[in-house]
Amino acid sequence: MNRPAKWRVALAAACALLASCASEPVAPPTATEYRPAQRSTLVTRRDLNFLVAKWQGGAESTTVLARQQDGAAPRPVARLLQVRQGPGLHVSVHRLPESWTEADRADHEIAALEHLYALVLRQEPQARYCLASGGWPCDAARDGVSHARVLQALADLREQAVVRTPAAVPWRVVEMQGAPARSWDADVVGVRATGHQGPLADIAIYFDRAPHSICAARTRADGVATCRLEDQHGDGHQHDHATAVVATFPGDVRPDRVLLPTTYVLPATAGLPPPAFAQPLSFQPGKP
Amino acid sequence: MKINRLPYSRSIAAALAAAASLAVAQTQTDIHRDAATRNVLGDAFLMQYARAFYCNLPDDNNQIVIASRGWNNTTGTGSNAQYRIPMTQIFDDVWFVGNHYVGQYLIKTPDGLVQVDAGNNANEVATFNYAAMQALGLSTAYPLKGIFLTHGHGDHDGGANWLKTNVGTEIFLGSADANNKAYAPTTIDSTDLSMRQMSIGGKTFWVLPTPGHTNGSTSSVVEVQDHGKSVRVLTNGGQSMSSSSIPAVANYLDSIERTYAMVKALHVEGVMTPHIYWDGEGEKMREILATGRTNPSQHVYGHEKVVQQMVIARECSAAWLSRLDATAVLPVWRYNTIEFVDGAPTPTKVAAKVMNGWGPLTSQKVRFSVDETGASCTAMTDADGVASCDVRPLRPHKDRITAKFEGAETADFVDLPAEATARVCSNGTCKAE
Repeated sequence: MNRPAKWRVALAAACALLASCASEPVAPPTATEYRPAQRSTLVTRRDLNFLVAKWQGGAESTTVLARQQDGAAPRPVARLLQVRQGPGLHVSVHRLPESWTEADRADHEIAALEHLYALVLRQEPQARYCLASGGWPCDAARDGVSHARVLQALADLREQAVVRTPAAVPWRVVEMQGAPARSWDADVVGVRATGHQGPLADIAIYFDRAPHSICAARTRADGVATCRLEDQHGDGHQHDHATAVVATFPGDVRPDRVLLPTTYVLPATAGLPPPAFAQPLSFQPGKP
Repeated sequence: MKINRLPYSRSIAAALAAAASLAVAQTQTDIHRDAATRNVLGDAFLMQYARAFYCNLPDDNNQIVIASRGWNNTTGTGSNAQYRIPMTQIFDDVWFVGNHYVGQYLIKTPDGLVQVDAGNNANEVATFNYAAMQALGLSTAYPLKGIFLTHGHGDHDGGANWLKTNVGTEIFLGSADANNKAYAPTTIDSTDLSMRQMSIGGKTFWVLPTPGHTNGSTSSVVEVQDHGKSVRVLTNGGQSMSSSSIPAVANYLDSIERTYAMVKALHVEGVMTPHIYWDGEGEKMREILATGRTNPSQHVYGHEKVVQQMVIARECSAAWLSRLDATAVLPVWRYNTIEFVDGAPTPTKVAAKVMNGWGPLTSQKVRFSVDETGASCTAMTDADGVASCDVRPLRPHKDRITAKFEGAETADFVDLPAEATARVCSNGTCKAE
């Protein structure tokens, strides 16, 4: 087992062990309103009602994912605590103790994890994350991992939860790594995307460098996608090439499998050969 | 331990069936791009500007922005090598200063000048904005009282430090963009997403933090004078969507939705945007320069057009977000219109039709109320989108009726509210009147 995989399994196991721990109550401030959780094709049981509340207090921002059943008060199932410390952003993802009945536990747990994955996907890719269960504390500032890693851990938890549900569509994790840098052009960026069977060909990857340089490319047969970042805004000002580049795979949901959306933060100086062999992205109707 | 797996298995089957149907259906991105087009309702101006520019990324057409910038750069020399637009009065108390790519708005108040945005760079503001301010009476007795910055990018705050140092003024910027700014801005709390009023240089601004383009982007509405009439105009802060980061685009989408709400709540009728190529203001500016300012001003687009712009922008943003997160399922916003059948109600016929870019809106409630008497009735729209009912008594040429569709939501659509008001006319003589 490679190192990231070991880490994921260990994290998932720790989370499972800690699931029965007590937790402090989580309730949004009175004025905060729950809104329906964003719909996602990742969520299998769309009939289960999940809500989200978000509030801000100074440098901290809290998001709560809650389950609502039969018009009863929403029951928080997860909490995201975002803390900004200087330029750094730390996000603690807490799965909260559940009080579901045995009869519906599996369905709810799966749905909660699917919603949580969708929610965490929309968090800042460059933040550091930790994942805890049952109210057990975690410290993203001290033990933080990447956005991609915490998403992988959630995916593993979901796969564990569906193990007794053979009909469940399998989730496949996509991993990205910086492709070898062989270019002096700091605007040329690339990643290699791999799935559980090796390199992933012909998937779209989007690259972003703040404040507003982006590009997109499809992966070749070897899983490498590369393109040259272009300033979309064109304000004529010089932008910092030392700013990190975020690669995003948007995901691909099909009847027989789900390739999970994810992100990867490229080292700031990653570059690749000039775009002689790059495949500029040309989207076809109906293709993700 | 017995686990009831039946609902899950059933739902899996349903999900598989749904996913299979999706495989041959449009992608979410395509659905929202199409919705953006449908929400244009055939308006060529909205199509050429709002639809084309707000959808530049999901259309894979950022060339439209690059071309606008390139065209702007075809004249002039050196650092001022832009297509300068002569200082142009767009309202009684507002002048545009800038080039065809980006500009600023100078607002005259009784006590001094207030500027929206601070120029591309020091040289530009020293050359053009300072001269414009002098032409508008800048003096120690009539100072530059304040600057509202839409966000902290260089093409919007590049001249801020020069203005602060050489002219002296207070500069307001969203707190999330304020780090390391030499001009030490007064911050607008970017974490408080509520709309609120604040005084900027003595001028009342309704400000709305709209993170997305940058974290500290702020939109605003100000009241200006147009041929002696008060008009509220929108400055969409951080107007362009230029990121492919999911949280940034999600923020942008949320900001556009809240800007829509602000436009509705404040009954905004005009626009005053720094990037004038984006929403067609460049065309309006050229028209003013060629033939003069009309009454109302060319920059008064009309409330419904400003609303429509926001709805188009919302759909373009949803299209881009669902491209970056292909698992996101976002409801489509539909811009609706409501019109009285035959142009106006009569004492014997009170009927209105609700339409959108998809066709007539059926089975929806429309409320008719008489402004003068408070009498009202409610009816559902039929297959043609027409609702009609009796509301009596009605006095021709005196009573005004408001037809209102409150809006509706399903899992797939958000049908936006629509409202129309017309005076009751005599049977059969409406057109003559």
